[in-house]
Amino acid sequence: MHFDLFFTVLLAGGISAGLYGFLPISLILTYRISRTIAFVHGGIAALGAILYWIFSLHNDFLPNYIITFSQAQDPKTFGHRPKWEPFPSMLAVVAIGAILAGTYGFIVMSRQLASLTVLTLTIVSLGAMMGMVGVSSLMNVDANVFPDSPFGSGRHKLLPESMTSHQPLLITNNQIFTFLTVVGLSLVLAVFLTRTHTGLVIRALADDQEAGVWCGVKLRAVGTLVYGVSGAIAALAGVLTSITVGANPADMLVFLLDGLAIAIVGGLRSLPLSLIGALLYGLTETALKVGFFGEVSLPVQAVVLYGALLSIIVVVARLRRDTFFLLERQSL
Amino acid sequence: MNAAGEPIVLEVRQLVAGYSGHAVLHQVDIELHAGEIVSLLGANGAGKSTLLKTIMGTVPVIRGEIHLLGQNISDWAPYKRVSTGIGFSPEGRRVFANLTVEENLLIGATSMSRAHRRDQINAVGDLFPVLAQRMNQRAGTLSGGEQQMLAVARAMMTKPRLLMVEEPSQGLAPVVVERIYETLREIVSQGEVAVLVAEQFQQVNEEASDRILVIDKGVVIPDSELASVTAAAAEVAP
Repeated sequence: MHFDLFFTVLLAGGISAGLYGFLPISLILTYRISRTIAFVHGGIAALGAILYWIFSLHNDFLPNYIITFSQAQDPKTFGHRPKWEPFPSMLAVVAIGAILAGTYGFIVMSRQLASLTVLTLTIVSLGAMMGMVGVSSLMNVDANVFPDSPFGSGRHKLLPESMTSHQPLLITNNQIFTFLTVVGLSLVLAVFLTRTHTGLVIRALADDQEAGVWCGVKLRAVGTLVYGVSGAIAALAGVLTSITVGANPADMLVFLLDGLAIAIVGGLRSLPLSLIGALLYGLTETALKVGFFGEVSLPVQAVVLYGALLSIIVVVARLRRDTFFLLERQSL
Repeated sequence: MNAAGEPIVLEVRQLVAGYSGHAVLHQVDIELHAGEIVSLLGANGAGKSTLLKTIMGTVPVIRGEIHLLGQNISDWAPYKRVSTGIGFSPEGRRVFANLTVEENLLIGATSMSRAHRRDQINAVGDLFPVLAQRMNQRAGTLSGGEQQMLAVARAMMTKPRLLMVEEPSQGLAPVVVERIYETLREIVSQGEVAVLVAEQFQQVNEEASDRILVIDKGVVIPDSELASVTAAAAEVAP
């Protein structure tokens, strides 16, 4: 083992964990009210990545009549669709994600559909995801061209050179923003879920949806809100992933599976446990990538990563009766 | 109004209801007046639970009408029925186990304005002193009797005109059941609320009930045939 990389792994792994924290937040929020795994968020993340690519990059992707119309609006962009700045592009994608997921929530949380079995609703969600991934794939963007970050292209040295004998560790603005956003989102959600009546309603529905309805909860309104918020978070995850690894819908499915495994660390209920799962996943992945354990091939890296996650899930499940349950009881 | 001049709170007319278009209730007619406790008795699968859930709006009406305080609520969403005046304490209590007593009560008051929720918690606390002492305790850690009281208290949070309580004596000691019925009597004593209690035959509390209805295979037995049906049920009951 290369202990001289310890601080590099700790910092870079911690920051990369931010990216893995988004989808578990979405999955946990929707699981709390619907008891189903919202695969649809994987589709929204994939679509979000593609739309951000299209919005923020010059390209000839859209049909000619739109390009012609755009040229008429802005003659300087001759030959290309005029691009938007990265920040408004990101906001537009997040809004689209919220609208798509909110619409999905409005449909599946209706009285008729909400009473369907969990398995049926999960398959509906899988179908929605595959539909969106299919649409994303049709758009045929170049996944090797990475869009710009809405937070600038700055890079920062995170550790003084004296603390590592290897190349200095550079952290991008995008990575810093991603980390800060996931931390900020978690804090905002914690306050929302514990200090507002709507948050209380969401926690009650996680306990017993039917009893919530008998208490006068507007299931469809709450469902639409929760799906909308979690869809916005999923779309943001898509934007940030497209900047980091490219806008490839297939990659986004793998990213969703990572997020699902991390969410299961928290029993699909506990945000703090899931964020700990994301942190451990980020640290392990970084340690493998930078060679902390020596040279490790890509397939072995995948086996080690999922093996580590599986071990954590088993350990957490064994502790479930006392420690885990206690955490769940106070879960955010 | 009935002979005593108490207004009709609930009127169910020729109700046919069930799941996926298959009728479980057949031509049910019921009338409940303010200030009375009516016990609805029936064996397992007789249709008690379906009737209560149909009144709550979670089982669809196929034919017939449900009127609450004179308004036809047959196709209303459950939240609208709750805000108009129905409280429901379901079988098995169904309290939110991971929330505190106070949070359970707040959920019960979802359809009320924020300003009135706190006042209503205090009012319900006066009705159930044992809960008032345990506001910060998790509902899942309460005893069975306390959970039953919490379920009724939660249903009372919206100041309902119709309170429906499903199998309140299930799994509870007689002394606890007695206390729950005392509270139900206290609730109706103001003359504004009607209480419909669904129970198994052997759990009936005749002294606490103003009237008894019997349901069998989705049909509410007319008063004229009631004596023979209850006698037959008494023979079957252990």
